[in-house]
Amino acid sequence: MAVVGEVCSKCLYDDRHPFGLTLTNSVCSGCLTHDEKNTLNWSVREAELKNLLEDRIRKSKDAYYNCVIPVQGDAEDYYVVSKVLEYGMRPLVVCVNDYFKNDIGWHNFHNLITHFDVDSYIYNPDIRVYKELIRTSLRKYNHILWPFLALHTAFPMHIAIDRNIPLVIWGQNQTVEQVGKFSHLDDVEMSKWNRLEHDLCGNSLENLIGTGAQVNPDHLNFYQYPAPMRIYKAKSSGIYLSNFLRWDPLYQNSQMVEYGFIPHKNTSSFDPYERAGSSVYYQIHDLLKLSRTGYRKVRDQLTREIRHGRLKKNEAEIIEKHYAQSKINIDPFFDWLGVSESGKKWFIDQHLSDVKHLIGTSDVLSTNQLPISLSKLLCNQTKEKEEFILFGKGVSL
Amino acid sequence: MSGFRINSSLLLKDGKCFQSYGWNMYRPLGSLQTAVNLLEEYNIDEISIICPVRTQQDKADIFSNLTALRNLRTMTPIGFGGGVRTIKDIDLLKKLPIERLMFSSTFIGMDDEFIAEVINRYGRQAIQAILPFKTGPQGISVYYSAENRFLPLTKKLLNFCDEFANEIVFYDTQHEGYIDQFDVTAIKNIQIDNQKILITGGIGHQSILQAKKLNFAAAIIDNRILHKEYSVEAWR
Repeated sequence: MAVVGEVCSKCLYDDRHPFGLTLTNSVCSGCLTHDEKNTLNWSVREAELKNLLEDRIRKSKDAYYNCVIPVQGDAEDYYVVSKVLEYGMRPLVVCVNDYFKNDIGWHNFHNLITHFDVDSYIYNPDIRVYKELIRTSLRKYNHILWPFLALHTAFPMHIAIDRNIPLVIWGQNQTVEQVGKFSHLDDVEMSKWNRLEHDLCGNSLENLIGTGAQVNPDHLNFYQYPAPMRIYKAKSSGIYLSNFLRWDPLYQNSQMVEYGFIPHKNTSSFDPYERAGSSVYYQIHDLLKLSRTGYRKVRDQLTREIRHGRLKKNEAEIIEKHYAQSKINIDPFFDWLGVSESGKKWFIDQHLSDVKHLIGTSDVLSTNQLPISLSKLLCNQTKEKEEFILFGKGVSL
Repeated sequence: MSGFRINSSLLLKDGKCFQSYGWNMYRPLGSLQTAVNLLEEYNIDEISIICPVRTQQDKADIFSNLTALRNLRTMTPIGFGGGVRTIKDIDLLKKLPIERLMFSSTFIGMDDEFIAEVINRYGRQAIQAILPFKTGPQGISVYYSAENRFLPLTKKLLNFCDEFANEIVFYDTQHEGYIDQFDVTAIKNIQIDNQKILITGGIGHQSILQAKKLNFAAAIIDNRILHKEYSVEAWR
């Protein structure tokens, strides 16, 4: 793993962060940008958001839906849908099935569209193509979510263009929230560049399938972002609510249980809301993130809590140290992918040798070992009963 | 003279792109090739790749950017500048995919011998002078990176730039990174053919409209070129 670079004096990040990070007088750009949250007039920002939404509604002419909301069914999606409806919008909720949802994930997705009574569109990609792309991105980039992220960030824009919907509304802009890559006031939008640089880690579809992938490019339309000129002519754009609303994920997400959201107990983090309902996010994906970047997801969440004043840096370091030891059971994922025992062993030896000691099973850290400032926001959490449910309607292949 | 151009600038440091706000804060941006690929798709007219040299350490780091440039693949015209001050520096730029060379301290220091040598090798049409400026009670001053200080913008300096540079870039250091904040009034009455003037630092849609109206050669969008999907087309 990479040697630790220059570390921020306030949070847990160092300059190895994959999005890029700058340090000014030992304080990282993420912390400096987070401080904007305490100086901006959020009432004014929210008013600007409402003006933007009204302006786009006026321009959406005959389209019944005036925005698309991409969802997976986690707590942030509940928050986004609730706010969008509060502003009087008519959303079409779009979900790309990643085939990784467990029973909690499917419950949360179906409950989302039922509770809020919104129209929805769920896209189920060809699973043979999807799995082949996962095998390829695993082999090339040590990443299993690349194909899903490609679809999740592109498909909603295809829908928006095809149906003359002027807006795609996202929740948080991770590049602002994590590394302060932009100011809140820059009003950065989702774009082909943004998607390629951040969501897809700089790896285009052409680079992914370049050599060895057994896929027909004709089947990959929705993995590609629409051409900029097509988006420009359709006048569709993707905005982030976190540019306009004071974004505090743990607090916001904890409120979503009132809408029937079920928090998911996981073994790799204290946060039961973010990416709740995934069979892989805090398992194999977390292990691969560690091998690629040198840290696990819990560091992002702990850094977030330091910035929101709920944790001190030394407390966060202790918690991170604990979760750094939590083991990951990778067998269910490799079984789902259809990898043989020898193939799995090869992969571990070639790609996971640095983190081999973390492969296994683990116990969950009980919440009463966390500071009260954090634990009071962690509602009752549920462990999954069934993983890797392909279609959450009781249908199985 | 060709029509009005909408260009973009990318700041390069340690082989990666950065954003600069108000001349004193850096934010990361990302991969040079990815940024250039998308700018090409957005139909940008030219890309100016600038290695900001604001300290001696920056000067020492310049060579680490040459690999990123050498590997760059693009059909869009590229300008390059930042810390290029000697013939040795110029020799390092051979075979790089660049069409224009941008100089700041060379012009502000009025190094006519060096400029003559560059013109001899690359032609005057390839030379742009960058004047990072700020306004204050004493008028306009320009940042001289060789000495890390601002100097008054004199008529002599302007004439020197006019004589030796094909185009002159006025870089508003006080408003860089912000939208529609470029201080056009600061340079409105400068005695230079407007068609030789490019503006950058705090460029937005209104800035571009002003630049077009004043018949400037181009506007160079700085940080926010990649903030939205169709900045360029929408602002043309």
